[in-house]
Amino acid sequence: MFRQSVARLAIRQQSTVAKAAPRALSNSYVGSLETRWESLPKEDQTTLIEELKTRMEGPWQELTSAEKKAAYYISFGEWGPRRPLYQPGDKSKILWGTIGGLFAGFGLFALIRSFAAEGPTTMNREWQDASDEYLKSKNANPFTGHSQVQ
Amino acid sequence: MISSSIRNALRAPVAARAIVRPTLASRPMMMRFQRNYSSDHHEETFEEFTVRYEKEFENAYDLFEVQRILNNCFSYDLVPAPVVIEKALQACRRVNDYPTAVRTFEALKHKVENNTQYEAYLEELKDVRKELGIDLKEQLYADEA
Repeated sequence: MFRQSVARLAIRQQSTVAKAAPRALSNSYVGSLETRWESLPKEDQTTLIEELKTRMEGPWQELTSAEKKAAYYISFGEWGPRRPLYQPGDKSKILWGTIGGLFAGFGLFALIRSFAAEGPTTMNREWQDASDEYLKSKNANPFTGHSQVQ
Repeated sequence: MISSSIRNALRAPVAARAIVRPTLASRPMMMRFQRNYSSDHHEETFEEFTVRYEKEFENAYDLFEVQRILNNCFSYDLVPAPVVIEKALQACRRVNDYPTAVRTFEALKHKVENNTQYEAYLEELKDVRKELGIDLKEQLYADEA
């Protein structure tokens, strides 16, 4: 009797059919995987994948909603290589960063220019008018004009 | 007289051959050219495509293979027939991968032109979905959307 039951247990241990997880994985174990999947240690991820795999060997009607979501998230969720290029909010960050950088550049330019040396003395109106007077007195360039005003 | 007629009779077939195929006789070394244009191939019809992919899904032996065939199947400029999708779902069931089955419907939704066609596909595949217990992604994430 005892030997028989031991033999039965051994058969059950070694059979691949009986190992299928009969109980659903708890909601707290597989639920809200989106928030914590990537921070899960590698071994935990592997165990969870294996457990879900055993669960999926049974009829799919028996899977709980949380298990389905977890299995879907692990296979096709937005993590690892499937993470979208831009997270929500990233685009406005880029826009405002660009605009801010642009204005910072203008500001820096204005700041540096404010420390710049004065322009050349010949570049003011009086000097150029005086030049015109002088050239006129010398009858310079009668064909295309001699104006020095810039 | 007799000898000349015999000679004529012997020559006759040679002459006839020369008349019938003058070009080959005059150019015996001419090569035949064959050009392998892509248009020479037989273009696969939708029915042949369906049969081919049904067979491929029946022969798919592991998850990688199922996903590879699904990928190929959905890469054409056509939406696979419902029978092909059904075979794909059965292949998913055979390799025990629920997410791929859900993903198949997602791909279908992406591939069809409008929602009416998607609804028609869902109606057509209702039984197999119920039998295998496959939810749509919309149903899975209904409470969050």
